[in-house]
Amino acid sequence: MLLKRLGAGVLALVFVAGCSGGGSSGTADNGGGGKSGPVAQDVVIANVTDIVQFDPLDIQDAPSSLVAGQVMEQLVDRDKDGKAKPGLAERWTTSPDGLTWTFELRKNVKFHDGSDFNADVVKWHYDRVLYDKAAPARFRKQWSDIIKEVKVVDPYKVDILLKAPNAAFLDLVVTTNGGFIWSKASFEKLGAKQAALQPVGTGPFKFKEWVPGQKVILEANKDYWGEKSKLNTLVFRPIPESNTQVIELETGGAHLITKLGQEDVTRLKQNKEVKVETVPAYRVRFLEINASRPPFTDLKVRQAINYALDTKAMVTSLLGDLATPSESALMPVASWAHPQAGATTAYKPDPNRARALLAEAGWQLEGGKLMKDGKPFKFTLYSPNGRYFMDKEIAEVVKNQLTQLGMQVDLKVMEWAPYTDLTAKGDFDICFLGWNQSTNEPSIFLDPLVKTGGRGNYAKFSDKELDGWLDAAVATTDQAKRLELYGKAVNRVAENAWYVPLYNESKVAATRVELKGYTHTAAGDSYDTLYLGGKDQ
Amino acid sequence: MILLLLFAFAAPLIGPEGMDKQDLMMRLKPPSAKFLLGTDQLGRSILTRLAYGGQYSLKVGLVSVAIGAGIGILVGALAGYYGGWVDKVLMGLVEILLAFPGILLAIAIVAALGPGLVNVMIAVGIRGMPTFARLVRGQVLSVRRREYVEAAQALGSADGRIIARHIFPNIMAPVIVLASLDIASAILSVASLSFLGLGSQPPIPDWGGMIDQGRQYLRTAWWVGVYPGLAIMMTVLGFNLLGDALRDLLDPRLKT
Repeated sequence: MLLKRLGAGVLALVFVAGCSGGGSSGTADNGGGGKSGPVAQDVVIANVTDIVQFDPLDIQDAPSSLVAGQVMEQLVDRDKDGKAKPGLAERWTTSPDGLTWTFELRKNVKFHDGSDFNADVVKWHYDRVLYDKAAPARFRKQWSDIIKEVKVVDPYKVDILLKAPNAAFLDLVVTTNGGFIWSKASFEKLGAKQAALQPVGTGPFKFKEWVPGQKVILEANKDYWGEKSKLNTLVFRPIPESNTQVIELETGGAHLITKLGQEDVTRLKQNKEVKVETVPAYRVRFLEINASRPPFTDLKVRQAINYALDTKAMVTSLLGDLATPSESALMPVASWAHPQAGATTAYKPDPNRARALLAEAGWQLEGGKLMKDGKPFKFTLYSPNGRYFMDKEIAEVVKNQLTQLGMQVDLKVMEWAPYTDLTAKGDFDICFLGWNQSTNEPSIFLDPLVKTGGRGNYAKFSDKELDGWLDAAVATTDQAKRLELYGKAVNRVAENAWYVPLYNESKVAATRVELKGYTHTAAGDSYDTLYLGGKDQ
Repeated sequence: MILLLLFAFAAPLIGPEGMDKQDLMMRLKPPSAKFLLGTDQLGRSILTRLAYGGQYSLKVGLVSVAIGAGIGILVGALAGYYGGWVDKVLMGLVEILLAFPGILLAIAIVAALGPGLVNVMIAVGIRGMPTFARLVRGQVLSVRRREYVEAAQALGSADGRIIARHIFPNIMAPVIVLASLDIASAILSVASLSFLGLGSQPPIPDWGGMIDQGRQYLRTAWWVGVYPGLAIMMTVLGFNLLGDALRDLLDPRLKT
């Protein structure tokens, strides 16, 4: 902590020294600290961790995706309501059989290295997505399950041929991180490794420099095909601690932060120099119960855990505005497929029902401890540390509520890297997980999380009938049919009781008042409209 | 010191409902008549948690010093008594350990063994071992050539018996003083490890862990982090004063 503070102090000193140095040399024309001159258009954004790399095939973390999304673009973009809008493709059509998607590309678009954007590049990009072994297999599978082939029709027209009709094609493929298209010329010149460290795209910002652990500097692309940014530079600084992010915002070290606790939100709302906004987001948080391990092989035990937890109380008191309690595997606020109230098989907190179910399953209370055949009810609950809002605290409450039933809960709080290793292998009793997306398409949540073999189904739960409904729901474009299938699916997930929905994390952003042009949306963040103005609200 | 012991052992009286009694409606409440030191982010009484944490800190401090002193005394005695290559090898190892900053060594050990109570005690114990080894070796060297030791050797006593019966009683005073001082630094090391998330797992109310949690609320609810900090400060001060007092008592040169 102290070291970090010192570090920040030293950094600040360096910045000050840098500025005054520039001024005294008499060559700087932006006049950083000038009293009446224009405001230097340099915006600093706090990122929760440092970026990892920029190869679109391998971007798996939100911080890298956020930065990459300013530099690179997709064929199809999203508007602030999450609806598809033209990106690098001006328009697109689907054949009557739903198997061929034709994209008409925007003309006169150049990559930051000066090379042309055209159908050749698009085919090269999607061929990499489909066949390049450098990408993790479970990610490649997501695309190769859907796309059969990519064909160049003419220099500005591409056909993507699917294996089967897919209602969620745009969401599953085009608008994912893998859909970021970068320069073929630079890739071939630099090689895969180096290109991943200095991305070249077509977006509103150009990559300038990455100082690992300190910052990523982007500068405005003066030749952008769309509306050009008014900024000079856009800097992302990794600031993992919410406390530090808040201090940086208050002292002007950052213009936009996205990680702050409920107490800070309340306090910052009093601050006239800061604006705080929360919007519901496409982020689910849940517990996965490993149903292949006793005692959780017993459905009644899993149901008892669902009844024992008062998730609504813990979420409203610990997270307040930052989250919405959740009753299903989909988002109550943000998903059209979330069942209407009363239509879910949700579990209302009912400790007596939980005790009765445990008794039915053969677990008896002996001296305050649940016992069966001479063995105690004992398991380990895993939680990450600070990855999701208040994750560790929520896990402590879960432990507390389950301990009251007589279970012996060993809570293990782990750092993120070893935590993902362990949970992705399925090596846990119960663990705390989350899933973020930039759209509310139901299949993008349910297919990876609850389908057999899904890439987020770490507990490896399998229900073949459920799989069938999920497959049918993407194979049709009939919205009423899809709604019905997802309703059934969500209720089945609840009946299986291995997936315990906790809450939907909202997106929170606190900005300094002088930062203008920021629209806070549930979909991905874009910063091309940002600029710095006066301190009026 | 006595107050601290009383406080820690009275934990079940101060908070009969246990250290993990949560009341989410009462979270982050400032000190009041009901909660003398306020409540933390899960609505738990900080006073109760400090008391239980005191038990934990004392236990970990004592056990890890026992581990460190035990190994250190053995190594130091062997090295000092036998001299020669035994001395060279053992003290060489001790020098290597001494070359690491103490907390870094403890972090490395916990990282290798994994977080948890027992591992923290081992790590902090090993951190304190080299000082004991050096002290004991020096003391053994100074008494080894005394007449009573040589007399025992001449009578044909076994080495182990000589070390245990004739050398130890004459070198224990400084070791006891060092141990009481080392408890203070052991408690600090444990608190640092917990602060870094390498110590106990929640909901064990380790003082270092409590400071770590309180850090998030320093600007909105200072009492979550400040009281555990004060508790550590008082305890460390207490053990240091105890160590000084023991030294005054046991050092023959200071007797008038």
